[in-house]
Amino acid sequence: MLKLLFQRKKKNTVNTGIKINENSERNQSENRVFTLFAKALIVFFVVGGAFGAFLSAVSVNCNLFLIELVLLAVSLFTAFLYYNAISENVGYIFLLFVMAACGSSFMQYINSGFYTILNKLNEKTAVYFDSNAVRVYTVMNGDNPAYVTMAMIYIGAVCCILTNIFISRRMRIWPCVAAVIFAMFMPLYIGLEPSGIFVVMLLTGFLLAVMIKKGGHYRLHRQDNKYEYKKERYTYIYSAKTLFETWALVLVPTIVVTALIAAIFPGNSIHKGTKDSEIKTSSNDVVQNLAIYGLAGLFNYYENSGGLSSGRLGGISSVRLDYETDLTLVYTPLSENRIYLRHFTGGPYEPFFNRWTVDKFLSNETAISVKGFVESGGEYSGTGKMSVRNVAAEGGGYLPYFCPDDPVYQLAGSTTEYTYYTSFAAPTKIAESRYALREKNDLTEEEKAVCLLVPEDNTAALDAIIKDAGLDPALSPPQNAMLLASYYQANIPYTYRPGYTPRNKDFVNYFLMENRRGYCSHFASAATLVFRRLGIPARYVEGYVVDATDVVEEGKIREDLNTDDYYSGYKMLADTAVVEVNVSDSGAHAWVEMWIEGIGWQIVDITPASAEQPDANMWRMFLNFFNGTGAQSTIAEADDAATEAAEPGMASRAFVLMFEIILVAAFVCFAVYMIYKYGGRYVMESRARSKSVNDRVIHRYGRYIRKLSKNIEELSGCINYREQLDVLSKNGYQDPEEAEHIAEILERAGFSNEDISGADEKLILSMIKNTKKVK
Amino acid sequence: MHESGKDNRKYSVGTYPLAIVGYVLFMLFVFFLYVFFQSRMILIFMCILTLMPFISVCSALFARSFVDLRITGNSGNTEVGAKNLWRIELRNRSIFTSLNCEVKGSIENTFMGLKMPLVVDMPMSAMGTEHFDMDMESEYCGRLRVSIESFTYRDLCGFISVTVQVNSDSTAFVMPLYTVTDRDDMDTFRTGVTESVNSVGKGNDFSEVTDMREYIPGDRLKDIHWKLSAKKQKLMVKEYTAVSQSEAVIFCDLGANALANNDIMGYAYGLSLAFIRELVPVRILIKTGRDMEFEEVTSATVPQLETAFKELMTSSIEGVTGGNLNLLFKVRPELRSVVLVHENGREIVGEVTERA
Repeated sequence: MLKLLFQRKKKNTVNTGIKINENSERNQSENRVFTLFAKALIVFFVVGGAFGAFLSAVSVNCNLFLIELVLLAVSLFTAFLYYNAISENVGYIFLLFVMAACGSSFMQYINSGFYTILNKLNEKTAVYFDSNAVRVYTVMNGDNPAYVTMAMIYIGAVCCILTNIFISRRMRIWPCVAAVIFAMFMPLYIGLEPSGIFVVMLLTGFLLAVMIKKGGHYRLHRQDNKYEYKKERYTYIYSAKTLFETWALVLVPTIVVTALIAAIFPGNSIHKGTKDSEIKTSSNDVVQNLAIYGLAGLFNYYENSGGLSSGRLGGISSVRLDYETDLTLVYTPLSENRIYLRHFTGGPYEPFFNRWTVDKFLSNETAISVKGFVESGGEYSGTGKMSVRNVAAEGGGYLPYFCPDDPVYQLAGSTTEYTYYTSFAAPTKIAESRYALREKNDLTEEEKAVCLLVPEDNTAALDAIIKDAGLDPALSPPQNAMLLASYYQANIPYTYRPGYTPRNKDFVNYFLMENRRGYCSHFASAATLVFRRLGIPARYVEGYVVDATDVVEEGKIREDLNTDDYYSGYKMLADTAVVEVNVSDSGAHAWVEMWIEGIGWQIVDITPASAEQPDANMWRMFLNFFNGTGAQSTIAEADDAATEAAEPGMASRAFVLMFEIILVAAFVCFAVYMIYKYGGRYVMESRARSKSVNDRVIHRYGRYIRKLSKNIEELSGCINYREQLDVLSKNGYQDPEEAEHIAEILERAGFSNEDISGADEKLILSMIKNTKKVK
Repeated sequence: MHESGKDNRKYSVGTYPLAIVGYVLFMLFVFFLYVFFQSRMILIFMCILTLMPFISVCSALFARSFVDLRITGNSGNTEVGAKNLWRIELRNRSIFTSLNCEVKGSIENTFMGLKMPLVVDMPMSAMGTEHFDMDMESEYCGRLRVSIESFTYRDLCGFISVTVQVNSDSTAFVMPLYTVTDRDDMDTFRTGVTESVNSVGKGNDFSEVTDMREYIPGDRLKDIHWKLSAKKQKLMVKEYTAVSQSEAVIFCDLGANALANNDIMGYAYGLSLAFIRELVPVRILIKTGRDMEFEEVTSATVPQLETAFKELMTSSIEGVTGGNLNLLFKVRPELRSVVLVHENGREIVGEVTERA
């Protein structure tokens, strides 16, 4: 029946008795390959231009030519998928397989390349914001251009496939524009300009898509007929020649304008001497949050898998630890005391923005004093060496106490050795020694001012706590510290799940006055301000801590290393060795440094003890169960495949691979089955929807009969509507009195040019809606 | 053909406010992005967005004089149900392109008074010619007139449309498919045409040979010129022209039903052909759409018959209702009897009708 309808449509009979065959056999056809080629070029210009613009702006080291070449190939391939229905269905399944196989096989490299780009962007963002809070992702083998190229090819291919769907089918460019704005936001924000050629590509692709959309002749067709009869007009389907000419018309002015502006403002010169707009300035905080925490940072709410937040507070609702190695330390344990590694030191606190800004002074006077004390042969002291390897922690320095050197900025994968000085002598002894050595041990006025800075907004809450805890400026700093620690222990419980600080509320005030529970960052931040309120210079510190139990449980003795090379001097432990300890995010911590007159900066760790466990990360647990590695690959995986092969997890990893393959295969089978079962029907239905009322009715009726044929075998043998309706009447599915009338309507709908009336349509639809027997 | 600057065709320019407003809003958004980012890339984008409408609109206006449109048909005559090729040619001599040029016109059967609009969307390529070919067939006889009234193209950005009035048309005659009249029927018709009967009797031939032509199956054997045929080694027949006033008068009583009218014309054509082959000249009459007016043609030979029918079909029968025989006898008192061809029930019949 459908075939008959379509055949009838081909020749358009009108009441004038004139028939026009729009599919003239003479010359009314055009090879649609040319139009598909033009559409492929639009996809390539948009995707290739966007990727080229991004990569050239961020200046990532990669093979841009190869990326563009592959994107062109993928664009052509995906555009030609629409040549006919078979190529589309088979092609997409093939693509799905290829992309799944590539994704599965090269996931590590793609991840690594992708994170390399993010690291590069984050690095530039940090420079722009003059911030040391940088999110650094673990990558394999440093910044490998091959991995970046692979990642961009893979992601670009996915983008080509998606863009092609929008462009080839409906010439919808706006989703692509939104994606490009999203991708280019950060590079443009921090003043990175893309290369002119990619700007030309991007703009040309965009403008051409808009113009073709305006022209209105872009719909996908699967025949070579140049014209079709539609909505009472003959309309052309293909004209590749016009498309390419339009292309030239757009390309020429775009090249001219780009060349002119590039000549006037070469490189990044447009940013020189210009001041940021007020809107941009006011958005700095938001964008900085965005850069560090991603989209969640915009809402001051972000998931945290442990680790450090570099002075940014309040966004973590609950701590979820991944227990993956962040740092690897190699050193010689001297005592059972906790080891602190300083990463971030907060100076002024910004209420409501809920963050500590970096202490620019970073006074190391105390470390210098200790060094002096050790070098002058002070009692119970020694010199040690610690190797700090950043495995997957944030970029920055991780400085052990007491090290007078400046911290070395470490990206993931880098190792630094620090020399530190330690003394178990009373601090006063060290101070005395320093005075004897006539060394300076005072804070500068400026530094003191910063370390005593208490925002006006916090004073009320701080005063209340000072009163409650019985603190007094007249008491010594250690006494106040002990009182506050006791108060915390007794009144404010430690929790991994404090909830995030609501927007427009200050972190410290909310913690002290409303929420009254939290983890180390809450306690240390509040304590820092409390001490400052009491007139004691204090600063907020974030870093990692290593307890003796960590060494015992997780540490590995490095027998290949000589203890004497790592420590010389006094030790509290009788027997020791060089150990390698992996520090995970469970070791991330926040504490306070308090300035004690005559002694210097002392660590004050007043976070109360708790037996509570952090939230379980279900995905992590799942991966751990299979000994998987999760979203981020680690250096350990990449570095030593041989070691990995020896690990017992290898068998499980093969299982994971098998599991993934089965999952993908199952998905593909499911997709094929769904396409087989419902695809044809969907296409027919969508076609029928756009047809005349007669076609719609006949289509629905056909479906109704097919459905009932499963129950009534006789129906399949019927050759016309009347027979079908007789069978239906006989079986009680149709009122016999109405059957004649319905047969008449159906015959009219099926064989006549005249449309059936609305009432007739309703009658048929109401009949086929009811698939139950008529009572 | 219009030369640049000498184009006298009427034209009008339409605008699309929504498209313009949307574009302006998008430009404002881009301007905001520029203010926000102060980026060279956005600056380029902004400049292009500013420039492109000017290029698009100006070139569309400029191209007006360089675009021509015409319609041609490949043959002047065709038959009912036969295909005939028509071509719309859009020629653009400028470098401007348009992705949508809407050509508006009509297809009209002027004889039957039937008209349908013709709208064709064509691409407009730069410095080139685009054409749309129509394989057209008509179910009804008559005079087909395909005319193009205007074409409208949009600029690339979709802000304006330029409509140019053109006057290009092409016509073709669709000849009716005739039915062969039975010999028995012819005897009946002859009784009503007494003068003609006399004329074909022995010794009463009022016609004279005017031409010689090749034999066509169906020609009478007595018309064959044997001597000439022997000389030319092929059968030749004599063509006669009636020299007397005796003739068959056929009145086609056309009505409102186009299908029936078509059959009536076909029947009349066949009947006329039969008369002419029997050397009886025919006079064919139809009632036109105008009051009291009958179109009349006469023919004594086959080529004349075709011309006569074409002449008939240049008039219009729009608005004619059937049953005009009495009116015919009233306005043509000289007619004693006619062969009336009309629709009787569902059949087309020819009847000899005498004046009452």
